[in-house]
Order: sequence, then C-alpha cells, then structure tokens
Amino acid sequence: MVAREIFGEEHIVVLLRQREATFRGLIDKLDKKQKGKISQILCDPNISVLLNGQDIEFLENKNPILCEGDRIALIPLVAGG
Amino acid sequence: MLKDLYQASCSNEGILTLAGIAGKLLKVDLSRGKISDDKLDESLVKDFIGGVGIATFLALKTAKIENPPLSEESRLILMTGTLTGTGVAGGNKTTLVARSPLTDIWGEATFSGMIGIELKRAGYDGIIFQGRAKLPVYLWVSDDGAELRNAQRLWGMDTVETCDAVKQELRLKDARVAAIGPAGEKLVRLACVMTDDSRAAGRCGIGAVMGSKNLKAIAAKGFGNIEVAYQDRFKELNKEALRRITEKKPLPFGTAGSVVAFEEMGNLPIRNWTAGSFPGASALSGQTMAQTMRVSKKACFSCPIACARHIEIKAGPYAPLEGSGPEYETIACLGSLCMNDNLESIAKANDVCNRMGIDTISTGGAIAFAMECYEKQIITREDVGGMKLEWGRSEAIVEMCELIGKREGFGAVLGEGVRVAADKIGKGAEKFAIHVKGLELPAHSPYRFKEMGLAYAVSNRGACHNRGSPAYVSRGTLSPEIGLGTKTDGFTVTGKGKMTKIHQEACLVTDATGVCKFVVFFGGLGLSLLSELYSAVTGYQTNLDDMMKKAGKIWLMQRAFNVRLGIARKDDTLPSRFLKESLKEGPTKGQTVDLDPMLNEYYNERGLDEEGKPKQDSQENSSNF
Repeated sequence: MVAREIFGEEHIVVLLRQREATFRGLIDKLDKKQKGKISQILCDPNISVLLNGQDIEFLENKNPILCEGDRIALIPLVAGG
Repeated sequence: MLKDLYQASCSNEGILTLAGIAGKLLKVDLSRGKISDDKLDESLVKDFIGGVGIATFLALKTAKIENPPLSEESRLILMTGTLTGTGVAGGNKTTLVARSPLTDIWGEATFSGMIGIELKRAGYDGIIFQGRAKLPVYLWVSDDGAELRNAQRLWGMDTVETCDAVKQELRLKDARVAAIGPAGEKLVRLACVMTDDSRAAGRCGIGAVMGSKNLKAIAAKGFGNIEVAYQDRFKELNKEALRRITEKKPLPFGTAGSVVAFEEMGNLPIRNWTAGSFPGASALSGQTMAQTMRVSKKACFSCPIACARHIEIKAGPYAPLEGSGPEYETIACLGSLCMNDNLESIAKANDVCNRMGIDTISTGGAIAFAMECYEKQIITREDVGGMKLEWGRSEAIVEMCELIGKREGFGAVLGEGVRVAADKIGKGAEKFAIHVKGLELPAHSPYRFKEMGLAYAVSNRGACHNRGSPAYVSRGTLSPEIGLGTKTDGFTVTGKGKMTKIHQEACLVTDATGVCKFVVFFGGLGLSLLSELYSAVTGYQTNLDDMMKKAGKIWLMQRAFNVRLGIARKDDTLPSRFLKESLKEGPTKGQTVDLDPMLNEYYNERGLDEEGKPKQDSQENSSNF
C-alpha cells in the first residue's frame, strides 16, 4: 500500500546502528534515501503509524527506542464491511 | 412558494408536498392473497427521516412485529431510504426489518442493489408483509400495480437461479429481484436475502422470515421518475459530493484491501478470537485478489467508489468460478477466523453462501465455533459426518457452508446460530460461542478497539459493526461535524460511551437516508452535506443536528422494543473471552475489554437507567410519534 508506492515493495527491512535505533533515527535514515518523502507522509492525517501494531500517536514516548524485529507500519484509512 | 415543488396525486387523492419519495406503501396479506396500497404519511418522513427510521415506526406502531419471528403472524417490512434512487452519490440502500429468528429481538438488514430503486420507480417506498401464503409465491411490482405469482417451480432454486428464472418468466431482463435461497426456505436462522447476485441483506436471519411466509422473492420494475424538490441546488450539492469522493479515492482495492492493515493493527479475528497474529493475511488481501483472480471493479447504483469486485477463477479445485469477490467481513470470517489462508476457497465459500442465501459473517462464526469444539474434542468426526473439521481445512469450510445452507447433517445444528448450537452440543461449548444476544461477531476486534466491544454489546440487533462503528474514529476516519473530529486511542475506554452513542446516530441517519456509509464516511461526502442533500431532494428543510436527534429517538424506540422482550443490562455484554481472557501474542497481547465503565457512560448518554431501560423522559420523547 503506502510502502509499495514509496519503496516499490510492501515490506522492507532496515538495518540500523545502535545510535540510530529510535523511531526518529529510522525516519531520518529513510528520508535521506527518499528525499524527505517519509517525513511528508507522517504529516498526512490520513496515515497512521504503528509500532508493533500500536499507534505511535498514543505512545507516551513519541520517539521510542527500536529493537530487533520491531515493525513499523504506515496504514492509510481503511474500511471493512 | 417553493420553486420546483413537486406535486402529485396518489391513489388516495392526496397531494405530496415532499419529493424523493413515491408516497405509497404496499400492504401484502400473504394468508389471504390480498394486496392494497396505503399512503405514506409525509409526517413519517419528517419525523423519522426515511428508510429504517420509518420502518421502525411502522414496525412498532402499526405492524406489531413482536409476534414470533417465524409464525404466520410475524411481520416483515421493506423500506427504501428517502434518497434511494434519487441520484445522490451512494443513494441505493433498502432496509428489511422483522423480529429476528436468530436473536428473537429487533432484526434489521440493509442491502444496496437496484430492487429498492425499481420499487420506488414503480410507485412504492416500502412494503409491509404479513401472513403466510399457502404455497410458495413471489411478489411482482410494476407500474401496473402488484401481484402475487406462483413460485412453486422456483422453490429449491438458489438465489442466482431464482433471480434469473423470475426475469425470464416476466420477460424483463431489467427487472430486479431480491430472493431467498434454500436456506431461507428451510428456515435456517442464518438465512439472508440476496439481490443483484451478491448484495446481501445479510444479518439477523431475515431470509428465514421470508421463507416462513412462503415468500420466495420480490421483483420490481418501474418506469416512473423519482422527483427532486430543488433540482439546481441538488445538482450543485451532488457535484460537490462527487468532487470530494473523487479526490479521496477511498477503497482502491475494495474492503478486502484492508485485510493486511487490520492484521497489522490486531483487528483481524483469528482462530475464533484466540490468536493474535495471522501470517496468511497477505494471501487473503484485496491486493492479492487483484493479482490472482482477474478482477474488475463493480459499482452500486449512483456510486463512484466501486468497492465491489467481479472475479474469475479458471483453474484449481474451486474452478470454474465467476461472480462477486468476497468482501472483508467474508474473508475474515471464512478465512482468518477459521485459520484458512486459501483465498480461492473463500471465494468459493462466498459463492456458496450467496447462492444458498446465508450470512457469511454468522456462517464463518459458526464454523469457527465448530472448529474450536472439534479441537477441544467436544464434538467428534462422527458428530460432523466424517468431516475433519480442523483449523484451516478450506475444503471443510466450503462443504460446511453448503450443509448449513441446505440444513443437512451438522450444518443443521450450526445453522441455528452458535448460541443454540452450543446449547444443543452442551459439554461447555457455550464458552466458544462468540455472539452478542445471539448474533455472531463481525470481524473487528474488541481487544483492539474497545469502543467496538461496547458497540457490539449495545447494538439493538446484537453484535453489529455497522449500526454504529465508533472504531472509525480510532482509525482516523473522523466526523468533526458531530464532534468526532479528533482521533482516539482504541485501547482506552474513557469517552467511548459518548462516542459510540454519537456514531450510532450518525449511522442511523445515513441508513435512514438510504446512502452508503462508505460514501458518507470514507468518501468524504460527510454528514453535513448529506443533510443538505436531504433537504434539497425532499424540499423539507432540516439540518444535521435535527436529524441526529431524530436518530436518537428512533434508536430508543428500537431499544424499548427489545426491553419489552426482556433485554436488559445483563444482555449488554460480550462473550467472557473478551472480558476475562487475553491473547498471548500480537498487537493486543494481554488486553481484555473493561466494559462496565463504557457501558455506564453509554447508558448515561443514551438516557437509559442502570438496568438499560429507557428512562421515563427519554421514553416519552421516543414514544411521542
């Protein structure tokens, strides 16, 4: 969905150095490759950002530390019926 | 004096001052074979908006739907929305109301499709059925009036065959037909009513009510105009509606496009609600469907979204298959809920359910229940006719859909719904029967969105994701016009009572107008513009605030009906699985649903006392009609 439009694939794996291993660190790294596109997407109110299924917007720490295996998902508005 | 005011005379020589409506109801006494016209009192449109709102009034005040659901005395009401067929974007919905044979309380189900539009064009806004025909019949409504026709040769046909056969008999390929399949004929409590091949009035067993009346189908074709009061204003508003929807481009892969996202966020039902992750989600997605099943988009009348899909399967064990692709609820309930990651089998099961005429949500819930009973050895291979009813067995799922539809073998047990099936099986099976008030749960997790848990607990028809879907707000689909303009955290409970009440009313307004919720909520049409369109079409000046208040009163009328049938706080609950057991993995690991605080808040907002009964003043308000 959103990832495919930016990266050409549904899922990508990103390797981070320890010092980069925060949510912001991940975004900065991806932004460098994607010319700031990721930060732009994060400003879209129709995109939810999930860390292991939890909406980052509601986490106490908005810049959580990332661990091996953590999943970040960019979810557009979705409907089920 | 208003320009473009529509005036017409109807058979009772009344003058219609409102547009958008045909102004007449059909009353069909199946026992006596008698049909009569009745004027649709315009005050009902003003007081109850339309569609399900008017049907609620008619059901409770005139049609006495408290009679036992499958008795000759039961009543069935079909009602079009006020904006149905007027050309409003997404204006194509029709609602059926009856006392549900599955839950024994308020039952309603809505479908899109052309049947309501043709009925209106033929001069009728709705139909009230009573009695039972001595032999199978179908109702044919045209510009020439209405008649009951012999349906004996149709009895036993599936829904698709029935619709084709009726059109052939009438020699009108454009006639539209709503029909029951073998399931409705055999009074399977999960039976639904189908139209246009795949549009389902799915829930609550309404198909069995039709079957109990020997009413096989309703056919309609009309050539009349559905008038609009203020043409220029309507065109301007509808153009704005279409602009918004075109800009938003919602549901690019249909509802099936949500499967992976819902799995990611922990919303997908898995293994009868006992597991937190499903690696097969991607294999079931709308994106996969588009790549593997030669999909083309299908749109309902007057809808630019085109969320439905036409699919073809040309090879493999479920080929050949051509027809409507499964929606999200079907994919989840016949897929992940049963640990089935075979999309083709789900497409086949969907086709079986549509043709048999059974609700895919309840059917999936019943099969998942049976699979858990089988796993726990409460039922055996012998009990299920030699089938291996193990998790993920796609061929067993397809076969069981057929058995439920035909009311054969173990399908006859499951077709009673999980509440009754659990009672029949005994041995503690009720722990695995996931329902509220007898209606099986749809595919949105109360673990993930606590407000959905509340919505299921308090919906008037049982576990329902549609008559109030407050999780929209937690997922970012906001409605600022009704005070739901800020995204909420699905894991919390504070404020969810008020949010659920408001969203229920917003959904009721939408349903009563006959416009699709996807257009209103996801397409950006929005509730304010909907209310303006309503005024422009009908000529009756109202506003959203007024419509929401009326929706609140309509909701209370339905609740009061349920309370008279014994519904109370003890029934506004969830299966203990959600209240006391948590998942061991996935995004909702460790979560349970703390229902009481939400329920207390909801009762307070809704004007219910602590037992869930409408308080005296709210009761008076809702009974003033």
